[in-house]
Amino acid sequence: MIKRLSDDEAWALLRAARLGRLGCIADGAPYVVPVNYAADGACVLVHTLPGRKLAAMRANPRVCLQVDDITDQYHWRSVIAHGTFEEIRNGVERARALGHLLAQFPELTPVETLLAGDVAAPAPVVFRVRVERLTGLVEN
Amino acid sequence: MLKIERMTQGEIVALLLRGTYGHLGCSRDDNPYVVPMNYVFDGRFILFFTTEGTKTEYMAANHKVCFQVEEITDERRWSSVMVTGRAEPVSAPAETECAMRLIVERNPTLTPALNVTEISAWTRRNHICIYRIRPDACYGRKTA
Repeated sequence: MIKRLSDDEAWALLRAARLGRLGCIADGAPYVVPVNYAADGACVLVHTLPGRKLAAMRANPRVCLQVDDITDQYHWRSVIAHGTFEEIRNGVERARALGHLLAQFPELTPVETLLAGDVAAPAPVVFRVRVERLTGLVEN
Repeated sequence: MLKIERMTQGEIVALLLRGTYGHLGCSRDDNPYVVPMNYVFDGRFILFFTTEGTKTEYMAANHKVCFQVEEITDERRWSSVMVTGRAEPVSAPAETECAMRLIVERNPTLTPALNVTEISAWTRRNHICIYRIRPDACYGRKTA
C-alpha cells in the first residue's frame, strides 16, 4: 500500500541521501539531471560547472529535487522537494558551502570535475535550493 | 581527477535499452516535477504506465517532458542519459496491448502475474494510463 510520508520522515530521507535528481525548466521544457548534494538546514547545497542547467536555473529559479530509496518495486520511499535556486556568490558563504560539500564528497573536488576536452575550466558554481515544500510517498 | 565526456548516440541507445528504471520530468506553469518510473525503450519510444494523478495532470497541461536514466557504479563512475520529447497517451486498444506487453516483459514484477489475455482487462480495471515519449533529442554524459 502506498502512503504519504510524514514531514519528519520526508526530511529524514532528504537529509540522509546524497544523490538526487534536480529538475528545472529549460526553454519551457523540463530538464532533469542527477546531482550529488549535501543537506544544510532547510536547504540543500550543490556544486556544478556552468552549462545548460545553470543557465536554465538562472532564468527560472523554480526547481525541484527528487530523492528516492528503492529496495524493489513494492518497497520504496520517494520525496520531492520544491524550492528556489539561489546562487551563492558571497565569498565567505561560498567557502563555507564548498567546505560542507567537500566534507561529504572528499573525492569530488569541484575544480577537478571537468568536461574532458574543455580547454579553460570555468570556476565551479555553488548554489543552494531553499526547500519550500517537501512531500513524500512510501510503499512497503 | 574526474573527467566527464559526452556519450555517443550508440552508447545512449544501448544504455536506454539496458535500463528498466528512470526519472520522468514534467512541468506545469514553469514548475518542474520529477518522479521515478519504470519504463521500456522499444528502440523508438520510451513507454511507461501510471495511474491518473499529478503526473498525468502535468503531462496533459504540457506535453513536453524529459526522461533521465543513469547507471551509477559509484560517485566517480557513472553515465547518465536524458531524452527530451513529447509525451503522448497511448489509447488505441492494439497499441495499448502491445505497449503493456513490452513493459511487463521488461519489468516482470511490476504487475500481478498476468497472462497475455488478462493484461488489457487489468489495465482498464486499474485505470492505467500508458504513455510514450517520442524523443526529439538525446544527451548523454559519462565519466571518462
